[in-house]
Amino acid sequence: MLPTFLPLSKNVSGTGGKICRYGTQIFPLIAVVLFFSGCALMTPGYSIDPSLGIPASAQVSGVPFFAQEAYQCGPAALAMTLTWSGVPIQPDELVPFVYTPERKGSLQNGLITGARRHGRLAYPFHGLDCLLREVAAGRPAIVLQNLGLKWLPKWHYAVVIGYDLDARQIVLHTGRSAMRPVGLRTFMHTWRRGDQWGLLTLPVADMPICSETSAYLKSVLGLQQAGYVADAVTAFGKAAVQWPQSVEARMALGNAQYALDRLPAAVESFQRALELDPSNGPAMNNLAHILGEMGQLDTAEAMARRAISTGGPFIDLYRQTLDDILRKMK
Amino acid sequence: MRRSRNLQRLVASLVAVSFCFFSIVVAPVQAAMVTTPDIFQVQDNGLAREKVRLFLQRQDVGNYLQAMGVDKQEAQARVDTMTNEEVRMLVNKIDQMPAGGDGLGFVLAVFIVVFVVLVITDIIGVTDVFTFIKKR
Repeated sequence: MLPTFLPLSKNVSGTGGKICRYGTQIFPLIAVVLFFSGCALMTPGYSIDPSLGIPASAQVSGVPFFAQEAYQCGPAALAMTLTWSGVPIQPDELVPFVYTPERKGSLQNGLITGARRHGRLAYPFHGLDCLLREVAAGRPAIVLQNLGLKWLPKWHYAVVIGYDLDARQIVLHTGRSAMRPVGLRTFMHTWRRGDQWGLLTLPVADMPICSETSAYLKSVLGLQQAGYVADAVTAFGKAAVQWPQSVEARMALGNAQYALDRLPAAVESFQRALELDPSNGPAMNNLAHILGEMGQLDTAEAMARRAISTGGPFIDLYRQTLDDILRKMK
Repeated sequence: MRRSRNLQRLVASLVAVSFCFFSIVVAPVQAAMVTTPDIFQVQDNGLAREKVRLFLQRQDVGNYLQAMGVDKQEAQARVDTMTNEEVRMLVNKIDQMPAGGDGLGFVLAVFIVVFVVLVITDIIGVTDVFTFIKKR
């Protein structure tokens, strides 16, 4: 029996090492479970798209390693990527932000909001292609792995800091091991059970490589909700450049500029939104409101009436805008 | 019918009042601006109802976090920083969301499995771990 266990046991220890909580004594037990489950090692393989245009190997520099304490892989992983992004922080300091005591772990949303509350753009993504492209571009990524089995999960956060496609390896800061190479196949087994969920924590100057308009805008909105309005203006501005046809990007930018009292800039954003979508009621309303605040009451009134004529779910708001303007005119 | 409409109105106004205590930093409350979350929202006729629902969902997620040992202020801060979409994805299934770091359940389960395996192998007489099991 024993010889059968050994290779399996070795394989399992490769999935992420000292896990969130327990030492190596657990691995023979896992091997027994794996042995009796039978199917765990038979999931299909992975493939890498050659058109990604990424180098065969890459390593992100400047990612510190923090060995995790019991149950604290979430705070440890986030502390590593935040520190890399220019927010020096220790795992202990992040525990109150991300940890959920009764769950004895950190929810994905805890990491997301935790990153935002430290002024970083939290951008979730899925899949190996995105992961490799981000790492190749020099960004570390937090990944959610299930180191156990589907029906016997052991959830874990690690930080991907490199890969080597020739050696078929992913390099992780994980648990208590820094720069731990893990076989790509094993990594994919554990990551697939975590829905291939990854998270970037970026300074607003950086855009995710795998960014998609709506997901990016929502990430920036989250940052704005965390109180980093000026950073949100920067990031919405980048979105407006990246996706020049996006009405939503212009509107979000306009609202954030308005929140910072940058009225002329906000006016310009809403005007651009209206050029892109001439029948956009919310853009007319917000433009009317700001023009009203700036004292350009005639233009504001005309714009508010235009908004009302478009109808739609916000019509009460449009009417209120017009009332406000008319009151100012008296 | 009319009664239920009145009730809806009451609930809506109660919620509207409680919105004032809810700190979303997107736009000043008094400004008649269409906010960014609303712009991102699907623009259907049920917007008012959707807003009420979202508000309640935010409360649900906040209450869950509190029940899971996060203190009230911190739970509120976390929920405030989530986008509407994130709240919608979380609500109803937050129990099943993975929490990275959980070890105890896993280890218990491993021990139970090993125990069951050994009981079975004891019963069929391959092993002799537990004296309370009659061997064949």
